[in-house]
Amino acid sequence: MADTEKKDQVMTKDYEVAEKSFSFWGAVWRRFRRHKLAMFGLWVLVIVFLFSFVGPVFYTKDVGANIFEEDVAIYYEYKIEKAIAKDPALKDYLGVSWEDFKAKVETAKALKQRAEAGDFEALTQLSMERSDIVSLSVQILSMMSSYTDASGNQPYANYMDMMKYIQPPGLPVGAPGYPLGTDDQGRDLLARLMFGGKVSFTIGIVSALVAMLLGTTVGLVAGYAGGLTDALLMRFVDIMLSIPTLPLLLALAPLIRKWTKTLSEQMGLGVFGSIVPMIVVLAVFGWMGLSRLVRGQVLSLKEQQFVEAARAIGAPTGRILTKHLFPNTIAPVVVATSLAVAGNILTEASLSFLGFGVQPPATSWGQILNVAINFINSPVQLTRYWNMIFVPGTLLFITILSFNFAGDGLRDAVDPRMKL
Amino acid sequence: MEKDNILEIKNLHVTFYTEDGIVRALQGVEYEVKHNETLGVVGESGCGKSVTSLTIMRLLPKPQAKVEEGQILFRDKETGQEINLLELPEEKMRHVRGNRISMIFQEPMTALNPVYTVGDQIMEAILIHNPETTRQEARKKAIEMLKLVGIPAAEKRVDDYPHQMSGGMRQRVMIAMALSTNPDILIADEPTTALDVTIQAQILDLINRLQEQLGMSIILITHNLGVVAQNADRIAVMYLGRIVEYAPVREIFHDPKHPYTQGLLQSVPRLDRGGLKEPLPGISGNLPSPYNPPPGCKFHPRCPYVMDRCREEEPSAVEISPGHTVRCWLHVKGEKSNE
Amino acid sequence: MNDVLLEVHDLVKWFPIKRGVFGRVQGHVKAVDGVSFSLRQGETLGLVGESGSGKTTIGRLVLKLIPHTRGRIVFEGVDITSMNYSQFRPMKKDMQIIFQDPYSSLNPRMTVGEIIAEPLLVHTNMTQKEREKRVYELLEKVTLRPEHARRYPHEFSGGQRQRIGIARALALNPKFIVADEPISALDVSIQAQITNLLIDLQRDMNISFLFIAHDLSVVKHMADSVLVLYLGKPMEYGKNEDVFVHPRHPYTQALLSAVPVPDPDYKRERIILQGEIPSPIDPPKGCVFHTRCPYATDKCKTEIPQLREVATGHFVACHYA
Repeated sequence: MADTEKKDQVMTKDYEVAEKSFSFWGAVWRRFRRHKLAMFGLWVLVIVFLFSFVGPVFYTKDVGANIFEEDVAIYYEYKIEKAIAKDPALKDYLGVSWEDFKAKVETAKALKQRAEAGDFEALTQLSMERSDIVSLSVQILSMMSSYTDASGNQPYANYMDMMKYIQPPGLPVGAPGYPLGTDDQGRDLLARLMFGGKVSFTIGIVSALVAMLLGTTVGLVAGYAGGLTDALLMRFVDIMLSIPTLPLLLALAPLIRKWTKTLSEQMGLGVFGSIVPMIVVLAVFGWMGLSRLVRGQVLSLKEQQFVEAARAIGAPTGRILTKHLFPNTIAPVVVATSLAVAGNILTEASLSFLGFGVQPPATSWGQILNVAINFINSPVQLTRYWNMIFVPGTLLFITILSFNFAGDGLRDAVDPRMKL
Repeated sequence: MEKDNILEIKNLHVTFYTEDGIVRALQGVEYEVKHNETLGVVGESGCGKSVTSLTIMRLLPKPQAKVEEGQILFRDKETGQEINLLELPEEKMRHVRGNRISMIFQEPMTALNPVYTVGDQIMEAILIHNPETTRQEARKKAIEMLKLVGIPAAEKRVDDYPHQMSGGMRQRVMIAMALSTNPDILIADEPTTALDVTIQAQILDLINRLQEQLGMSIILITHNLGVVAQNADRIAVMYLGRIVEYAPVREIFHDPKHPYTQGLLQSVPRLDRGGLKEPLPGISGNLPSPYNPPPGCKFHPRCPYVMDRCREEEPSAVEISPGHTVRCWLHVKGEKSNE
Repeated sequence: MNDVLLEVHDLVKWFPIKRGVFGRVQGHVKAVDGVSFSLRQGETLGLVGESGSGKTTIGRLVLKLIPHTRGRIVFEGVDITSMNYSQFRPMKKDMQIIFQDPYSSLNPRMTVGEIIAEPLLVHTNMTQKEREKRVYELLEKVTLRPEHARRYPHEFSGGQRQRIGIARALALNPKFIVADEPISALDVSIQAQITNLLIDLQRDMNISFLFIAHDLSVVKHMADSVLVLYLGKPMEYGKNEDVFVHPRHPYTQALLSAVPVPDPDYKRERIILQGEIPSPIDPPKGCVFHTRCPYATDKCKTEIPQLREVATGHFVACHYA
């Protein structure tokens, strides 16, 4: 036998054990990387995540600041100057009106500077100038639109349309300093989208994590304890699942609003205060599926011989739970949680869209959409504020889709036969 | 193709392209099955014994597995024609599969559909291949088949669902289903591995009796040398995608030539000989990973007679006596100077 | 006999069958029904039977992994039957188990080193360094290499995994190991290696094995004494030679004749048992084997045969043995 042993040692060398060693998660990552769609989803998520969380570091516009008539006039000035640079004849055509308009804008700019420095008188004067700014703007725009160039065309006819930006004051996509334009209240949309993304992500991720904690604990305890504990916990899950969430939330909306107000204003939690209720609501109604999943896992793991082996060794219950059962449930839990984040972001968006979700001062993608839908009631409005609907809508769509792609890929990488 | 052969496999190469790498599952597998004879295919996990039968049935998993080379010649008993199963169009193959060549599996529970009665499933097999049969005729035939495989009260059991039967009964149903079309070849892939010893004896006895009664060829795939010793006429021993030894049953058991066959025979304790707690000579080392096979002779890392040549060059099959071939450098004589 | 390590008296295990919403007990699966045996230091007792014979349940009962219904288990002179979990825990050092399935018996999220060190962590105060050293020793003992300690179970073949399971069982130098079909899930060429390993370990460490198997050839090779079970009841119990050379019970005889022998010219009397193994929920009255016994008489259908000594140390439960 000693002889055979020696031979054994020599021979186990090359061909019997896999060449490379992978831990479980190492192997999962390796399989995930091969999943093209999942990797695409992951990259998109990273980009959207950076956009929301790191973007504000570089793009520092105030999310709450509105613009005024003079800002729109500055935009008109910019557009017309570009047109003049292209066609110098235009300057002669506009003549004195152009000079007047420019002078008014210059005055406004100076006043604005003084007002920002704290000069209250300048602010009062500026607000009195605004009606003049509006009428001069309308005048210059109508002149532009009726301009006929040397070849008989009216290249600026569409300038009449730009009048819609002056009252209420707002800017379209591509205005200098406002790459995505403004919303209905003249607030910078890009800054709001970053801020809203931050809120949406935070709500989605934190609520999914809280639900994961709740669900995993309930599932582990129910599955391992069995008997009465299991029966009681699972009946509770049944009850929770039978609650019609949406009607209940709509009914509770006033309460949630009040709570939000207390948290953000009286307790001074600010923005954070207005997202806490959303997180709580999503977590409280979102853990049941996971607890069922974990319980099922634990029930089947309990039958595995390595759990019996641990008991045969004499390992205490705590060790069996944490060292043998829990690590083997993580994989499906991680997959379910990653998909739940997407679901929660979407639910939050739907609730906010209905006006029952995130409350001001905070905003989220869903809330931005809600605001847009609430005052858009004509095709004209739709073309005027298309950026408020399609930009956050697309962002939301891409994010959810990417989460699902990545989650699906993760599931395939963890275990292709998993039923989720 | 020789006259008394019903099936000939020639130089079969099958490769699996999986996510974890390439597996050369079959490398030049050759064997023949004669009329009314049983061929035993013996080997350990990963040797390719089941892949071979799946290739015959053309049931290899589609995108991953690829037949790289080779022929599977089958003689149609009715027409006497020779056909290469690998080149047969799919609809003609369907006529062969389950009709001329039938298959039974190791796990009779998963091979039967739990939502249909066993009678329905046997009838389906009959009706697919004989569309002109009426349902009453098919049912009669199903009951007849259940009687043939020794199921008591067949008239009643025909309406049972698979879960109402024991493992042994289910395997009998599988056999009834496989034989309902009167096939020329029955492929039995580990038919008794999941069964208890006394039930295993019943099933093997049944298969032998049916072979005599109905006249068919059997390919019996197993890892259990005892099972083939008493039930096969010739034996192919496989190791890592190759047939390492191929010979009539008596030569395999009384005069094994390949070191792997010898080791395999010495690995099993026996009822008829051997003392208490005597060390079994067996084979040292473990089965190589199919993703990372050794160079040269695939058995060389475990072979007690390994030579330098074995580590570098793979031996080809040599016929050392009529009908007895071996893939081993020990048995290549006089050819050394040529190569 | 003062070197008796384990004694089991009239062990009974009934599993209740619960039905309906309120879990009313509808009946019992009589998994083990009155089994007695004793095992001496350094010897092997083979438990043989087909599915439903209760052999696996006996292994679990002896280690108190499941509670028993009736009977007495005495280990090293100490009655362990009435002990609770915390009283029994220290004794697990001496009583270990090797499982059948080398795949599900190792936690896939732990490295081989962690798996083998777990008993040391639970039962000793060894430092990390000492544990590491011991793991290397154990790996060597089961002919694996020290660098394997850092790898995960899924990277190994079935035979290697079974060696890991054996190393875990050996970690605390136990006196007694339940080997629950330790080779039946392995490839043929690996079975011999594990069999040899177990025999060597027994010789070197004077371990007693309760060797559970359905394969009679292996039991004949391994066991000093043999207990043949059918539907939870003992059929025949005796020394290796008694059971394999002079089997007296028709069931034992049939089992022996059903074992396929790897010799095409091996001639023997073939007894093929008819029918199926009855369900242990509703076992036959009288002798449980009578429904399949080729020699059954009316007496067998009504009267339960007691296990009686037909020769010194050779017990048979049959009216006609």
